[in-house]
Amino acid sequence: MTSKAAALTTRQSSTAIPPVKPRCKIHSTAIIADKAQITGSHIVEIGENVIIHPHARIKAEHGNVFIGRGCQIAEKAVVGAGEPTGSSDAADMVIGEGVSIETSAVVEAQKVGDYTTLEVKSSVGRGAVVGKWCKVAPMCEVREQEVLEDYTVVFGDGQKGRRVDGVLRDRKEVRDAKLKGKAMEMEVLKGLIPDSQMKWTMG
Amino acid sequence: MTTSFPSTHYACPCSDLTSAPTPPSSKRASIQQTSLQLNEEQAFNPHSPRANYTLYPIDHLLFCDECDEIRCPRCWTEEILYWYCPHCLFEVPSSAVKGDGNRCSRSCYDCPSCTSPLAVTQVSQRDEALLRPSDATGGDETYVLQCHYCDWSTLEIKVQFNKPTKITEQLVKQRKSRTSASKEKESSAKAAISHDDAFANLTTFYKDQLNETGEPQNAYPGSPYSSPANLARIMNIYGGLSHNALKKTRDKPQPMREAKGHAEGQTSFSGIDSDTGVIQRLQSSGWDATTTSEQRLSAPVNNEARFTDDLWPSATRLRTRRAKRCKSCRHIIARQEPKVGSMRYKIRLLAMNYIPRLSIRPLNPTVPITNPAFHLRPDMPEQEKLQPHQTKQYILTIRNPLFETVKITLATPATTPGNIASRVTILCPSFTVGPAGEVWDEALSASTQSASSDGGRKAAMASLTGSSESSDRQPEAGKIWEKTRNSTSVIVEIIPGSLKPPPSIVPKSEEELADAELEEDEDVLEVPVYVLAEWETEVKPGESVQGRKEVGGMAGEKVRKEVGYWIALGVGRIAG
Amino acid sequence: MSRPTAPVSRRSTKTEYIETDTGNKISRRAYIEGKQNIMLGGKTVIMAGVHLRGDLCRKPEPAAEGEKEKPNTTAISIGRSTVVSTNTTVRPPMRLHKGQMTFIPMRIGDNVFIGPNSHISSASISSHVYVGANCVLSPLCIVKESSKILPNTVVPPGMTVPAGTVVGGKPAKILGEVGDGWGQGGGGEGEEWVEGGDLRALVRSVK
Repeated sequence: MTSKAAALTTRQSSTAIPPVKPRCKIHSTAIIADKAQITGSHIVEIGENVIIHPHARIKAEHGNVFIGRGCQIAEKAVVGAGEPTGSSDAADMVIGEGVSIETSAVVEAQKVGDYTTLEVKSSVGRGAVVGKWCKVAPMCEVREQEVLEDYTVVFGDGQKGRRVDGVLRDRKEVRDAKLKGKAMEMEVLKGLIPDSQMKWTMG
Repeated sequence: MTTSFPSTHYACPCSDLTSAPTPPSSKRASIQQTSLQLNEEQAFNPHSPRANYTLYPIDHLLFCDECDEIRCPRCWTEEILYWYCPHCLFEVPSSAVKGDGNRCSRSCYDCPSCTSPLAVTQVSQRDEALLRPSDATGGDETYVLQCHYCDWSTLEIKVQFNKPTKITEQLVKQRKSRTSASKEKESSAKAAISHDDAFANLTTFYKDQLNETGEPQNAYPGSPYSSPANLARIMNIYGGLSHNALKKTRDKPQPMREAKGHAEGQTSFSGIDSDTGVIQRLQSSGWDATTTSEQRLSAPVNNEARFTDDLWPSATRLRTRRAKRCKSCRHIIARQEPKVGSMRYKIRLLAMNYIPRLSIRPLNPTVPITNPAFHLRPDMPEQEKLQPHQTKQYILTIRNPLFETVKITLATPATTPGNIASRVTILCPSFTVGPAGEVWDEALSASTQSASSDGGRKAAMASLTGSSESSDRQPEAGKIWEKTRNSTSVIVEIIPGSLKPPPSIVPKSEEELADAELEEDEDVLEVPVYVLAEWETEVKPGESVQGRKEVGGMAGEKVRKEVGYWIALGVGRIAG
Repeated sequence: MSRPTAPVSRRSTKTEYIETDTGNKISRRAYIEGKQNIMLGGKTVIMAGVHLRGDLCRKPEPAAEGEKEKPNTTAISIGRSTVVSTNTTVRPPMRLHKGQMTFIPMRIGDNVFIGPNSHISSASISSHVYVGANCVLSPLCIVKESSKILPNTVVPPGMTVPAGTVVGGKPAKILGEVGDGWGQGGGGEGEEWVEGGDLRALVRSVK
């Protein structure tokens, strides 16, 4: 909330809030919307075909952030480690390929596996390790330091909230169908969001 | 009881908990006095456990204009207008409902793991043919039911469909083939048979039994004797020596026997040996892989499923749209249009259009009061708690929906019933409220029309001129605070009681301390007020005068009507 | 969409809301993308912090001979007297349609109240609906008229909320039905606004 207050005061200029510009290494095919925010002093690496929607926030304040190929980060999502709570190792965050981070999701994980989907308003705690092809349903959370196996689905009110999706694990064609779906999404979005990664790479 | 304040809940006078209080002196005239003191025992206690089931917000109450009484969900009967499926929103004719087991017979199914709706999705075997238009591929397209919330699909139970419609048929076929396949494997008689087969076998068995014992079908459904055999038996006892009657008594009916064996539908306990497989599976998958009782009860096919991997999707249960009918006079008081999804009412007799509505708000709000349902910002202030022993004044507003002037009398016990005694005083318990006219009446008539109240005119003038006098106004006993065209406001003084009992020198025992602990929601300050509204209305010629409340009954004459009910005003929570 | 009138203010501070000629109040702190694809019905309120993704629209097919102009595609269309509270996100859903992935235009009806911090990705919301705070309406769900979505619910994708029902939970289940007096009695002379009722008074009071 406090950073939002800061954003309001500097509303006239549509650039990021703090004057510190992160060291960004952005692939040329990535699309970063004009109103996206990348902050922090550490390294931010963005792979190819990544789409970052307006008002997404990537915070490299406490550690580096590496975003794999084909990822999608939606508006109001916050990607980046938060304040360290005592552990000494710097929190590098590695986001795998094809990861879909939806609106208002808060990701502070250490690692997010390939092709995982983190739905609207989900949250992944600090230091957690999420496997590949996982899905975290809206408003669900992965606790700090928790390890999610590959193909896990986190949903529900928490009572029966975990499930291993055997279908996804066993059948390749279902995974391929999902990949195809993701690729088509990216195609469409590419045509709709104008790119302004120059803002982050130059200067 | 609500968690948001201020609130008003209305109690229907149907239960003895909420019936009208009898005043201490039994004369009617005593009600006309300015302040009516009620005993605590007569007053409605909003904290009593039964009060939970009698208090309703105003939009849930209806009114029967034949009986001139409030109708709550306990005072009306519901009749089903139509059945519909909540997913496909198709209406199901009531004749087909029973046969389908109150479930949708189209392709609407619920996910067994998260109970959200399943969608028919296409899945292809070949990678390259994915998601291309359907004319590109031959018969390779298969369909599954997919849950988009938890990603469960029928592929988990290895079920696929050939076409996207008539899922029910295809599911039934697949289940049958699966149980027959497993029955072939286990040829021992101890194997359990599937639920559907057992049901079918049982019904045929018992039908045969009934035929064998000679009970003829009931050709006389309306007869009070329930079957010709019964009739014959009774005739036998009371007379008649016809040949047929004597013959029937000679033939003793065969006793019916129960089902024996699988062919007749009996399901047997499958024996201890087959449990080892289940136990091993339980050890490997863990507790989370077992089904809950809700999951087992979701559909008959799931009744014996022990593991979540064995759960089949259940067809969506149908919902109904119901009309409401007054229990005493059988008048319809609410009825919607028979079209699915239409929220328009043919008949709608809402209580809010017949009884005065009350609402309460603080006189000097320290925090701006907002309707808690309409919090627009996430940082809206928390409602502050009431401090014990601090007098607070509230404005109680009464709005009159009728077209006649209504005389209102309010009564409340001096201290609120329940464990925490707060003191309540209504400064002006008896007053009138103007009629709700047409909207343009207000514009046409000047504000002088409502000058019949004390203090009201000054307030109206003050608000018109925008002077600051209104903020300095002091509430006075016996005077109305504000009066507009169809609403009147009076002041209520509330002194919240303390949650903790007063400290005493005598040390309390364990039981007393345990008793003194607050139960949930006991710190909520709810004021019970009995509202009596009286008004006069003209009887239209031709209208029959019913009910027991009016005096005189000729057409064209004025008839006095009244309605009385308890309300619970939720003021806030007491701090401490 | 009706263009906002140029604020003729002689004061130094700007008002929180831009008011258009049809009575819409749009906060200056709302983040609106693609505003030419957004239609507001009139007397609706878009509060601060609201993200309206009008840029996610269906791309119309290119004109045949180059003579016809491309029709304006509407990504989001909101009805009259609707209130979209602070920090909600309104995002058109995506769907596979005839082998193509396209964005479906969203329709929100009249007198709809959307609580703060919600995420709306439904295909359509009918009129007189109350959506509580912190809700998530997943893509392609449908909310029929006069229904109530309790706060903190997650409506799963594709679910249809039937008319006149109350849903809640994650995932959302039908918990009951609204009272017969849903929407009645508010917005008139009384000060209270009633759930599902006429929201004009609420719209007027938003400053």
